[in-house]
Amino acid sequence: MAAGPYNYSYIFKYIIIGDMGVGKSCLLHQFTEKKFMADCPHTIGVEFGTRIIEVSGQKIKLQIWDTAGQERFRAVTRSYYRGAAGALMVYDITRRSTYNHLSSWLTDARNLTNPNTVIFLIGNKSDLEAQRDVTYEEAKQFADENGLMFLECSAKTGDNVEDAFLDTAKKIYQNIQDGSLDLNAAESGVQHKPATPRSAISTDQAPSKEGCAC
Amino acid sequence: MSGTDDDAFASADEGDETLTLKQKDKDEGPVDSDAVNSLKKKGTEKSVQQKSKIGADTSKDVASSTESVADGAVKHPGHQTKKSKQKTKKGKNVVKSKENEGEVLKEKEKVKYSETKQIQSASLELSTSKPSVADDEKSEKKLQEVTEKVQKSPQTAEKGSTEMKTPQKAVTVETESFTKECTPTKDSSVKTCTAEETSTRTELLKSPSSQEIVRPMQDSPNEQDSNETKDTGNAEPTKSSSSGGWGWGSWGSSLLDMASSSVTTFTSQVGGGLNAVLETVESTLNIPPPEQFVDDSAEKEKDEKNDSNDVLTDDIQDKSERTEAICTEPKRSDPESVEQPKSTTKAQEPHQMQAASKTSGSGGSWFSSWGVSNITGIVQNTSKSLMTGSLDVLEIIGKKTFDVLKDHDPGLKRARGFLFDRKDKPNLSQILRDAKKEAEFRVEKEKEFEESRKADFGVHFDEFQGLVHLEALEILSQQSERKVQSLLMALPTDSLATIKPTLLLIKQTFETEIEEEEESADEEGSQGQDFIRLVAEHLAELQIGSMPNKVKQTWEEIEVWLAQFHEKKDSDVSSKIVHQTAIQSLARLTSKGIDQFHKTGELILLHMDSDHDYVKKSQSLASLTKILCKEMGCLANKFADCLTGTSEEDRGNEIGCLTTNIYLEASNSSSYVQDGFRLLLPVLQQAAIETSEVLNR
Repeated sequence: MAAGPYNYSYIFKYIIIGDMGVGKSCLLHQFTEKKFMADCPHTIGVEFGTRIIEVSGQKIKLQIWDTAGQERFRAVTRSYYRGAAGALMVYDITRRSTYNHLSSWLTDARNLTNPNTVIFLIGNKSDLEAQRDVTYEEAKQFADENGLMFLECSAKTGDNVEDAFLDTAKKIYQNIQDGSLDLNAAESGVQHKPATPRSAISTDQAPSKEGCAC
Repeated sequence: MSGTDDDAFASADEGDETLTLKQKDKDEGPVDSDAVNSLKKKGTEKSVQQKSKIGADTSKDVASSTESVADGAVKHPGHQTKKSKQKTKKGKNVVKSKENEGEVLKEKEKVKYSETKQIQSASLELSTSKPSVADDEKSEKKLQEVTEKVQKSPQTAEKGSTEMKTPQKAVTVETESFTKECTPTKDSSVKTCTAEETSTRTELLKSPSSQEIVRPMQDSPNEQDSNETKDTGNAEPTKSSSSGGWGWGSWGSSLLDMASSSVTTFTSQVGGGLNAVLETVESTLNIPPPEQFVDDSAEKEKDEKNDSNDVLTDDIQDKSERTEAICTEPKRSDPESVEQPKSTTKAQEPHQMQAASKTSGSGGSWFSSWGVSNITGIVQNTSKSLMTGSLDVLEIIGKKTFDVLKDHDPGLKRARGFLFDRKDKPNLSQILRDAKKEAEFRVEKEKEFEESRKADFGVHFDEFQGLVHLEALEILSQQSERKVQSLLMALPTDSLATIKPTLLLIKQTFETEIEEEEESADEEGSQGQDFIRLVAEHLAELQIGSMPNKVKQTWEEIEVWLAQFHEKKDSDVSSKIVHQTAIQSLARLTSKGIDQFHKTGELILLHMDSDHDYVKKSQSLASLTKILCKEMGCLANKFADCLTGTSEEDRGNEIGCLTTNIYLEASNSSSYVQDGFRLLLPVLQQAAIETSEVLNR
């Protein structure tokens, strides 16, 4: 099958990680559908969402991997980190435990992605100000200490959701532009020209067999 | 529009094509305008050269002031120039006019196209020969003009005497006509000597006021050209002669700087577009409004000519009235034109004595033969000095402009590039036509692109996340594969022996099922709800807990569409839509199938315990694969039926192609499903080993 017609020039792979129930799937749904999903079922393994955005006049397809937050899926979802260009690490501002687990998620993200992966910290449920358990300041400090980008969002109201995804894309694009992200690297998480569906199978298998570090 | 006749040749008068080209040239900005300016400068220099040449030639031959010879010598080139211009206006070859023309034009062409060196040498020659040439020429011209006046009309003798009665005005008239000659409208320097112009002049001499009739025609176009450099072209009948003012205005400032103080006043007349200077002169001289001036002069004329020239005076009055009517821009052009001669006269007074001593010989003798008073001498001297001055100015201007030109455009590369490249450039209309075609082509391509997107299996497979599920399944599979390898390495030999048959069995299931499945594809079996029931059954056999049955949902939606299509029956759905829907449905169902396999793999790894028989599970999965692939074929059949049911006009080759494409994509779907299935093998093996390991312990 010949290369199909695509209307974007880059594909960025994102992963969304974080504890169960922090609202990862709702964030994705808000970003792709611009709607709030009230009763979101537990994610099994990984779900996907896509949206084409535009950064500096370039059409970019965001391929977002929304991982399951349940601990039992952790082993499975870890394998999906590889080759992510951006990682959205989500906690719930009304539950301190989800914030406390961030270091564990961050360790995974650092270990399983490449050094140029943009990690964005998202404090979700910012609409529930009354139940706030984690202050903006301490989260901001944590983000700064670890070199993360940071925003508080609300998947319910849609507040800042768009910015979190777009800022990440801009940062990745900037990395491409200044050459710090090598598109030819096997796990850059960025595809310049979309691969054809058929060839994707064969080409993807080749490099992954070499790197069996995980 | 253009600065010189060079430009006029190629551009303004040659019709639409050249006009568009011209506009294009203009659009190209400073480079071209520079080139135009340079042309203009060259034109100026050239006119000076012409003058000098004419002067030199005639002075040799007619040193003894033979009026007729002088007349002919000057007049001839004038005619030729005019003729050649007309020819070139009609778009004839420049080379041809070159051949046909005399030395003057040759010189002109040389300046246009020749090497820099030639131009340089010409200007050098000019500057060296200047004093004598200029003087000689000046005297010759003067003589010739007066001769013309006399010869052209029998009344001239009478007028000549009248003229002398009004010395100041005569001077003014002469000044003006010479000023005109000296203006950068290059050809006019020669042109003024043509029969037509001479006769006009003869009339003009009757009264300065009648001068106004000529003025507005020459000056106002100049102004227009300088002010609005675009589009005056076609509307102007006197275009080529008036076009000189355009460039003068644009580089007038630098010119003024160079032309130094002694030339400044004169320069003001030369540049029709140099409004600022003119206005200054105007205000300092406190010139009366043109109408008043005309009236005054007419009255004076009346007084002086009363007895002898009744008829003429009437004529003059008529003309002055007409002048007022004709002048379209009296405020702008008339004050200048009237005032110019005065300022000129003033400016030239210092030179008068010098000029007079040089020229009084021939001119004076000529006039004395007509028995006129010494006033004639003053008139003549003044006009001669004016001519000297104007020629000097022209020479200086020519030299200076050439220097400036050389400074900014070494080797005249740009100027020449402008001249020669122009022929190779496509014209604007062609460019526009091409652009339109291109735009249409692009729109068409975009449409095609959109269409192909709609009917592209890969696009839809991607859109429904089939591709990324497949990718995730691959990752899972690879991970399991590695795990299996490491587990097998780690297992003790006895455990390995226990587990091996199970693993082989699972492997067999995955390999044999595919072959079987291809055979069983021919079987007529699961229809309608059977498919859903079988899928649900097999999924349940996997015992992996609740899992959303996306395959079912998708399949039902496809069935709904098919049912709606058959209900309509009026076949208002085009074959294209059917085809698109078919491809989309197949891609969607395939995506959900892969999705299902992916989830199954994840859940199998999640729900590992000793109760499970993974050989059985693999068989269930194989059955599921078989059912899915079969359903792909069924769907393809259904959509193919829909296609044949579409409107008659769509029949033929197109339907055949679309049907073939649907079957092709259906088999493509099947292979995707089988790929997904195969990827599950390591997952099941891993699960089998891990559970058996648990058992062993």
